[in-house]
Amino acid sequence: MPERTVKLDQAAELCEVTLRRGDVLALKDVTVSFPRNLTTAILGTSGSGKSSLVQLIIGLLEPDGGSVRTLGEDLADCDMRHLRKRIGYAVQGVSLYPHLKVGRNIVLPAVLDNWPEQDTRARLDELMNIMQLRPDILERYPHELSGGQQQRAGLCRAMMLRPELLLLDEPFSGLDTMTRRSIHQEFLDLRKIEPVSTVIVTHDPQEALALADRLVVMMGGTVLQSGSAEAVTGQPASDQVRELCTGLRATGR
Amino acid sequence: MKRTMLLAALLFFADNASADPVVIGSKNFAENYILAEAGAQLLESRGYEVQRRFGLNGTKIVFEALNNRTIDLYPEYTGTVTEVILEQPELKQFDEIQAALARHELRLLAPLGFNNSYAIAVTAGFAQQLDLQNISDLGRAGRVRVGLPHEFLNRSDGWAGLKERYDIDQPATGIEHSLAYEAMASGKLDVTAVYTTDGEILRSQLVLLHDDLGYFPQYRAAFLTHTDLPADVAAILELMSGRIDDRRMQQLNLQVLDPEVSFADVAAGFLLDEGLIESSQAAPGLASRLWRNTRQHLKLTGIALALAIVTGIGIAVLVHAHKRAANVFLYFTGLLQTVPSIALLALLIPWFGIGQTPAIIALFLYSLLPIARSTITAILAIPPGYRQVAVAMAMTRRQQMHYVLLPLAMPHVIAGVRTAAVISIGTATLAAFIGAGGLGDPIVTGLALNDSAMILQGAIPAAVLAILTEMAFGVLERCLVAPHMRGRKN
Repeated sequence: MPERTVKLDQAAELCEVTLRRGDVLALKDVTVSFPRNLTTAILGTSGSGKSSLVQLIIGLLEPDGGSVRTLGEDLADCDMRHLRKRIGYAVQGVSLYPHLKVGRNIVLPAVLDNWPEQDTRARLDELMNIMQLRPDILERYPHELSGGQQQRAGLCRAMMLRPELLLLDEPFSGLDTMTRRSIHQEFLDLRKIEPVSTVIVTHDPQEALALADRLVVMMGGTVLQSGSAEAVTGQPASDQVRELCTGLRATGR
Repeated sequence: MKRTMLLAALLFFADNASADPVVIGSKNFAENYILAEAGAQLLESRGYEVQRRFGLNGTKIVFEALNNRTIDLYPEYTGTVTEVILEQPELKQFDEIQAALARHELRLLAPLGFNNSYAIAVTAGFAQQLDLQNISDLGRAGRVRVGLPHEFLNRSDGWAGLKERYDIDQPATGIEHSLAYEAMASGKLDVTAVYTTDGEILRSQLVLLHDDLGYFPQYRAAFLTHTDLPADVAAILELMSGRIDDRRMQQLNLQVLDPEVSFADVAAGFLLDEGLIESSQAAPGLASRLWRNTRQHLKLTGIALALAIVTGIGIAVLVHAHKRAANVFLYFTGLLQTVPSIALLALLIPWFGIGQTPAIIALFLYSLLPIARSTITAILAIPPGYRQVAVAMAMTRRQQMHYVLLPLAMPHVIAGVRTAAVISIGTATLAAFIGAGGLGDPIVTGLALNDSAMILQGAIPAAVLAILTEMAFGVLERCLVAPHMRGRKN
């Protein structure tokens, strides 16, 4: 694929982005892009700035320098609410609201977008099916669900509005290996049916390699290396990248 | 919003709507109750409609109520008129006083007869022991324990002037008028100030010290009213003039000390004896009084709480995001909280008169802090992630409040409202001091008449009401908040 077309067809791109959090530079001059219709994993230890990257893409953070474009829109000058309706977002831990039943949680974006009842219902059934969720969980509160079910439900909510871009911040952490493996499989099934552009933040190289087409490896607020998963793991640019990609010294979040 | 404004409007005009009845006030001691009640019954016997605003706490409050026409008249004393109201203590003659009052469009009706001056009282035993007869003898009594009614302690013609005239060097503490007698009887006090017509003097075997230097001014009782009081009303009230001498007043005051006898009974008895009325009307029974007081109490606290919920949560929602604004708001509501309730009620009188309006405003101000503080802190305590997810979901600020922040804050908000409600129910009992009625009414009257049974008629229902309110909020929380969200620290 010629370089030029790839550049034009990005789900999100950051150009020379600097981000300050208090006195600390969280991101230093970061330029990185996330191609459409592919899954990109941002891999890094905690404090590497990987979550900030995702929050910049959806406009929860504003860069102190540089520019961010998401789905073709310049974030410095666009209708943020309109743009956010085209993006699905799930974060580990706080994805589901504890005061709402699971069903209500999942359909909340559709309720906010004034979807007709039956469209909402149909979409809910569709997602529950793909994610292998049983209907009886809909009437329960999030804390009554297992961790795996909660994260499946969180993913359903992020996908509710059929987004063009899916942002997942450590969505599957804190699960046992078996559960994680099956949830990975369901995610891949979902991506097969709905090939949405996806950015996954993770500290787990296994997860990154299992789910992503491309890798962005981060450390200390800079991008060490980015490219296709094969390229990065096959030819790591440094020992640090090698360590992060094999998980030998990758510490937990 | 519309409904709130309507409510507020009703609140402000309800008190002024009916101009017809004669509104009679009284201070909060037995004699004043009896005189005011006698005037009320006398007018009622002649077919007039009368509203009673009895038990107003002290001269400042009752006079302010007269001044802004919340009441039409109340029993006052010439000494108080010259010293406290006119601040012209040099006026001695009744005609001079009347002329000075006329400049303020006020007047006294013809005096009732007796002179209720202050007197310094000691127990009989104490007087005998130290051979006390005159006030000037106090100078050689050594250290004595002096407890004085607050008003006497603080007014210019009270303790301060007396100490100066008699060159007495004794510290004095303030004590509720009716409690002073108990303190004297139980030997906790040696010296107090009493009214010369007080029935308790006989019962408590107190000795009045002779005012040998002629310090105390004359305190002749008469109804104080506006110059434009209708002549027919004045003429009827003046039927009482000159019919009560010191001794008669002492007897009436003594009668009311009997717990079985209400001040209304005493007033009726006096009017019957004098042939001013032919039969006494039955006073409303205990159940109907209880019901009326409870209803008034619920009205006061209910309206105040409703306004405080709307305002408190509304302001909390507006300011929570701005740290400084939130702090300033909490600071001021906190400051309000430190103003003693009786003082706040008194401060509101110049603007809102007496009665339910200032009481509701005071309760509203007290309720604001717990509600606003709990709402603000609860919203701020919500993990930022929940808010970020809401923003990421493209929620507007309003939607964030509605779907996420307020529901998550709800348990704390309810706790704040619950606190405010219970505080209000307690504080509202004090509102009776400014004529707002409610369950404080029997408490204030009972205090004035030293009648424990009457105090309990207000205290017990108020306590029950507070407990029921607690329980009601428990039920409310169960309806509004899912079990796992209760008592949650987010």
